[in-house]
Amino acid sequence: MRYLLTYLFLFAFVGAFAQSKMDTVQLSSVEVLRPIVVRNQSQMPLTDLKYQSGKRLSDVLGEISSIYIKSYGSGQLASITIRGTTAAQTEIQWNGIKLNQPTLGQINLSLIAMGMQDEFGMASYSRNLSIGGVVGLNNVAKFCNCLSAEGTMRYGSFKSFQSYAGLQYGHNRMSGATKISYLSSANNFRYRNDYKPGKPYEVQQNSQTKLFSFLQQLNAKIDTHNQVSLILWLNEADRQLSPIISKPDSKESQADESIRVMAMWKAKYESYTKGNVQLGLTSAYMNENLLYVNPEAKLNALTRTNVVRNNFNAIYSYNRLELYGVLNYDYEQANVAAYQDKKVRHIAGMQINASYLFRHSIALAIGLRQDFLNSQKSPFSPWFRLGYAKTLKTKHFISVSVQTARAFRFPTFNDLYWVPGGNPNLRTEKSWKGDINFIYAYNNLLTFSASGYCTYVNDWIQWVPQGSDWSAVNYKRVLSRGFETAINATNTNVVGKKFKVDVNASYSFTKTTNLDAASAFDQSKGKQLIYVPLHSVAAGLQLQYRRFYVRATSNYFSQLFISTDNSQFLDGYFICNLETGKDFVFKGQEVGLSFRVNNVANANYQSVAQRPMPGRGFEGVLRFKFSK
Amino acid sequence: MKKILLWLMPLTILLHACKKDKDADLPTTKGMYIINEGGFNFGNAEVSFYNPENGEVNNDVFNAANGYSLGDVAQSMYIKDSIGFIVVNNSQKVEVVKIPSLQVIRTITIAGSSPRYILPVNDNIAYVTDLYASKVYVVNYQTGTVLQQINTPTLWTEHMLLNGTDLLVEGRELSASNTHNAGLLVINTASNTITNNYKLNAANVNGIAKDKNGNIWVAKDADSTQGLTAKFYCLNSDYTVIDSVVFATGHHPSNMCISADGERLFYFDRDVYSLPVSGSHTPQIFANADGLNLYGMGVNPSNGDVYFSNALDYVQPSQIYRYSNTGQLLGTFNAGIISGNFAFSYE
Repeated sequence: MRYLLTYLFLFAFVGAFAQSKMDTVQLSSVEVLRPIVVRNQSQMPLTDLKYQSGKRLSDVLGEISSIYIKSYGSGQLASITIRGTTAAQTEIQWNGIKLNQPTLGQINLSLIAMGMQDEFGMASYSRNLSIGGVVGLNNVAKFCNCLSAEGTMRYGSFKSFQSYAGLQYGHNRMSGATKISYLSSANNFRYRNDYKPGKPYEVQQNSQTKLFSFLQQLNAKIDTHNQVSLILWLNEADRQLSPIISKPDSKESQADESIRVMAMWKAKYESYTKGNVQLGLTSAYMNENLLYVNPEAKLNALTRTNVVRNNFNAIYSYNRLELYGVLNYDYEQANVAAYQDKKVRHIAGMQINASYLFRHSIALAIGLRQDFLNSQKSPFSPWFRLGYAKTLKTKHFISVSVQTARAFRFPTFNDLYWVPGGNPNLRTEKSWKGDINFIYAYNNLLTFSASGYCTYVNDWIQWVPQGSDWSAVNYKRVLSRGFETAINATNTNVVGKKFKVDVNASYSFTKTTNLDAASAFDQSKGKQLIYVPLHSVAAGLQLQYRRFYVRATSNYFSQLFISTDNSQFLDGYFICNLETGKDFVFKGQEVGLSFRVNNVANANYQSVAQRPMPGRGFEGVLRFKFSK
Repeated sequence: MKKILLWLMPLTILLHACKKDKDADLPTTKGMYIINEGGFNFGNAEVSFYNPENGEVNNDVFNAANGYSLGDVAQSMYIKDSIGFIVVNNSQKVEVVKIPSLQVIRTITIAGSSPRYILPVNDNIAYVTDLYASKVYVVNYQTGTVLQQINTPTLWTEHMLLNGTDLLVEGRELSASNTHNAGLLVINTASNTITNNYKLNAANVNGIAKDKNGNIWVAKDADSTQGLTAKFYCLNSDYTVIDSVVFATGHHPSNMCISADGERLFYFDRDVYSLPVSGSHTPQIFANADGLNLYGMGVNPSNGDVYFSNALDYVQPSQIYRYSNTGQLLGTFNAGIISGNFAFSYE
């Protein structure tokens, strides 16, 4: 245990440089000890990805963490808010490659089906990679003489059908994976209509959603040092866009298509005397089409983007020293009618990082980053971290770290070029941020973590009225500060236990305020930003006897302000889910059956104004994994 | 399972009971109703009531009077005697209410519509314009039914004015063009047919008002893509242009309305301006609006007081300014989110 924790601590520092290691952290009960994911992680076995496949990423993040997912309804637009920042300020990465669209700056998390990737994780630590945080998704190259098939089918209330199937195959030199997922739902749930006399319950209209995903991965080991992978990831989604509560009907719809192709090369050279070298090159081409149709407004708007992103990284480690460098180049192109012509831009960047593990378990890391947008320089962005970790009497592990960083975000194409309102003179958003983190772990049974953070953002980009039109401007300075803590107690790692208990809880306090008033009459100065909950809690409990289990997960979010002077708000809400099931294992083959109740208390709630969320719903789950 | 549910329910109820309920006093006297649009898709449209006699403001009076929320984007209100009409744009409806209490008499729902303004022309019939349709709806507001749809040659329709038996309607297009039909539509209310469309150099109409002489003032937008500057036209009762006011490049007059005595036009153009309907038509700053986000304007027909709103960032309660007809600031107060329209029960 001591060695493991020491290793993890070291790994957290040196690995923090390697995007492939850092940004995607499998949510197992051990690896979450890494300081980079001190926030909001669930440490329960239920976060094992095999229990999550076939769901939407937004639903999983919303259930297992206290991160606020701003959801426009089941299967509709869902975006993430980390530490009070916007969705565009958080990077969603796939094998270290940014997925955020250049038009909006964000990606719809409800259009990512769980199971298509092997790992996922999130981090909100103060690095110079993004103003908010990072959500990572990884496809891992697995080499083994094996053949396995797995799948999940979920069927439940509101005509919801969610399925995933995957095949892994290969031998020691070649391997591959084929994955497919289909999710659909009528979303015909009932909700209370507060906009009619008597506040009757009505059935949600025009809200059918479908998502089809396909992924093909091929991996090859060229020799003992080099390996390559090729991945094709397709997504096709058709969504009816449900009307807001106070609108009798809507015929709006949206179709999203994406084709993503990725090629990866990794090389590793190890030498006990000269140190280790790892090289990696990842290139991805992403074509995305979005068609929004609004017959009422006679709108038929097509958005096309073509993006190529490349990332080359090199790691040299010797004894207690690690050096890590990154070069990246992105080509972004967008074809949107509202831009009036095709827009193209080039982004190049470099990062240099170094870390050293001193004696007495003190580690120091620094990083420097400089990017270029066409010929424009980004703010120079350093990063610094100092940490201490120690294992005491073989059972107690403590870790303390402080870090600070500068980060930035270039304006999106919409911010710059949308007509009317796009502003080609926008400045880059800039932030300074820092945090202090503490972790205590006891003998694989108890883990406690706490963080305090502060993020200052300048030149916050916002669309504001300018005469009769809206326009994007560098409008605000925003200060976000808060406190996050999580605790997990479990005996699931104790060998020989038949009855296992796992309990966890995390809490976030997020105070994010506007520092400036636009005029003397502006009441928004010093007030909480809209759609940022001040308090959020996630808690879970699992009881397991042999292979039979009962789980409960719950989330609470405090009121969400919907006016900038904080005079209007949506009520806070509490959601609880229950699941019970059993895994059957016969000669290494596994079949799982479970029954789930979502939103047990039938809470009538909205995470976005006028967008009702489903009440109580039931779901049956069949899961299998066969391997040879 | 039941025990768990029982355990969870009080917590759920507790969490949902945390919203502050404000008790608004229902209007009992004559005064001014302020229509607060609310944010698009926020569903927080509401009505505020202002008593000019004692300066009291009551917000959220619609919900207080009826026990349910008004809807999404309350665009306008018109008062005819003891009946009020609240047009709720993105909720596709018109709430017909009692004045002064605001209690709902009936709801006129126009499916698939995007209603903007309503104008009753007698004790049964009213006309409704639409943002997303080339239409004007004819409704019977006593029964709540749509009687007829009048197709218009323009993309959408906005403000209306009654001139004898003629209904004048702003017909709008996306941008000015000689091939477009943007203009002042004339509908004969007896036959419900369009008898004329006065294009007036093809730019969009952005306001209509009748002055003390019975002349019709029509505001036309500037359109830089066509090299058109903004212009006010004065039409006589036969719709012949008898006068005009040309604005210099860079000026964008909007929200035109007429003074209580019919002698001056008021409009926004960065500041609030007044312009005499006769003589040299020299605009004068009526109220300085430095730093304000001017949004809606109305004139009290009984005493000529001018009210206009500062919508700030569109996501917090608007600030309302009250001026005397001589341009003296009489007071300010806050209403709801995006106050865009004023209706007076003196009418």
